[in-house]
Amino acid sequence: MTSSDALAGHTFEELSDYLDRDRTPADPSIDGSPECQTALSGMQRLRRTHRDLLLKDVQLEAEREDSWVTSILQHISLEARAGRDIPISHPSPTARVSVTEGAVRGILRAAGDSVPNIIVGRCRLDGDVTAPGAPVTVRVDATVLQGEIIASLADQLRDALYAALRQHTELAVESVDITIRDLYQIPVPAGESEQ
Amino acid sequence: MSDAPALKPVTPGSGTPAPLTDQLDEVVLAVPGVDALYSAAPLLVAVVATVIATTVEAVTGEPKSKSSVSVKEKKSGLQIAVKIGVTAPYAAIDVSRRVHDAITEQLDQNGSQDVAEIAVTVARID
Repeated sequence: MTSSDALAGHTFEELSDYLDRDRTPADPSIDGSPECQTALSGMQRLRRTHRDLLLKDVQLEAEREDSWVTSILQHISLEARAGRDIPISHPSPTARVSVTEGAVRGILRAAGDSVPNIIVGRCRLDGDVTAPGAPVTVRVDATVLQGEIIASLADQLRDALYAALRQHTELAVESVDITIRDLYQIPVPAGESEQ
Repeated sequence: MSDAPALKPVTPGSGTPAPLTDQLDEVVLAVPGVDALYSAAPLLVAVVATVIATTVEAVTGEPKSKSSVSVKEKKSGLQIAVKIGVTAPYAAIDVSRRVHDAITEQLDQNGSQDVAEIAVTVARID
């Protein structure tokens, strides 16, 4: 993450350090930023998942490739930015009600993380989300635990994403496109593969 | 909104927006599903304001308003902006509309001047 990618003035590393310090001492520039809070929530969920996977790995006494975790962490920070304002209808002529694109990407990620054995990477909303009724395509990249049935997991993920979008937005979602970019592999311990 | 706390009205057109912003902070936070209230001002401005308010409070001993709802008096009427966090079991659509309606109700109760705009932004859903 370059300095120009910083989220509300904070780099991914600074946010990660803040989590490591259990958010102490309190930093009002982080605590007062909804974008930072969204990023921190996503990072926390990923850490939990990663910890569970690590535990499985330790049990198998195996080594494992970690670059995908770093990649996802960086996406979390980048996508937590407020982005565009997505309108929410209200009958009053003086009302201007909206939800930020960053908040929506945050709940998409949270919905995805609720599906076991799949981890959401990049989330994108393609289309003019600022225009009520305009068609929008949601594009999501994900990592799946090897051995899982990809089609079935993708269906579960799609259902979870649609449900979150229906609950929190009025977006006219034309499609939810899911691409499985990585398989997370828990290596088979030496000797077991020879059986 | 029926479950909003009863608040003391401010004098309409008194030119004292601080008490009104404090009232609206309370009203917004009382809406079910709102779990955070962020400054409607840009982050840097908000942080500087918080630091100044904290310093003033430490030096003078007098509490300084740290309200988050922004209220501006324009020619066309009050311009109100609020940025909220919503807790996930609640739908952001419903919560944001209720926040708008709660602000409207409070302004009506106060007999405040005309409203030009009430902007409610859901900035985080957790």
